[in-house]
Amino acid sequence: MDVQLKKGFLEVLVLASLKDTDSYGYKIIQDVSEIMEISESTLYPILKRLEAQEYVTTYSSEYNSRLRRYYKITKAGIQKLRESENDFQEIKKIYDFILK
Amino acid sequence: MNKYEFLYRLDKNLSSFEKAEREEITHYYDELIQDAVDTGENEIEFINRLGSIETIIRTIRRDSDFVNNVKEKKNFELKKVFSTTSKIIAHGIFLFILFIIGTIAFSFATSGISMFVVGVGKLLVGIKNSVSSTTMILYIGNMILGLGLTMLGLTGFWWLFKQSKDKLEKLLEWIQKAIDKKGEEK
Repeated sequence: MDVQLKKGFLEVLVLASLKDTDSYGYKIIQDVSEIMEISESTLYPILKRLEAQEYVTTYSSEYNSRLRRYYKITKAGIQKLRESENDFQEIKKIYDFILK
Repeated sequence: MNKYEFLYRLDKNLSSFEKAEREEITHYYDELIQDAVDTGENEIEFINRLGSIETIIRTIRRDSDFVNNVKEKKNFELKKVFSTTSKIIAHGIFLFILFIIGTIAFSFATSGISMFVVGVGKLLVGIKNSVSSTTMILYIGNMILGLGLTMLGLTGFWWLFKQSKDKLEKLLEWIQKAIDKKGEEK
């Protein structure tokens, strides 16, 4: 798949993985990789992008006597997810036309 | 390479990054490795899967431009909001001062004119009835005071006109443009 296209999908997939519950780096990779291939080193820049755009916020919580960073989806992030549903319709239309 | 060697090498290679970002990245990988080990993965195998440190840094650097652009855009928008708010407040204060000076100038001019007219009237009646020179001086004083107040009021109006001329011209220009734009739309 095209790198830019994949990056866009990965951002939305990460947001979708946070839709129901807050999560942490390793768990996000596990969840997303079930749908799309993602390397461990790719996730960090994606999380930074989402954080910069205020789609996610972070907080630290104690786990096994150490601090673990959790990612939480924001209202703007949920809005972005809704927008991606519209994108899906457009992409579907494009591929329906290509594969016709 | 075990976790400590990996984190040491990663930190060393991040020397060009700001301290806070450097700490954040090493902490992220420290946590990632620890979580993988806690889930039952082999530490060394997992670290090998992360790829080379050079590739990790290259991936982060490639995206840092995007993150910085988003931050700059946010700062720009904040500055724009602040600047617009300051302008609105400044214009509001300016208009309030103009209004106060305008009302003072108006009351000076109107009371000055009426004092002057009353002074002239009383002087004419005084001449006709041959009143004492002291009373005549009082009437003349009344006229001069009225004239002074009128001049003061007119000076206030002239200052107001001078101050607001540019702004009025800009306002008229803006109204004209808005009217022209409406006309073009139709």
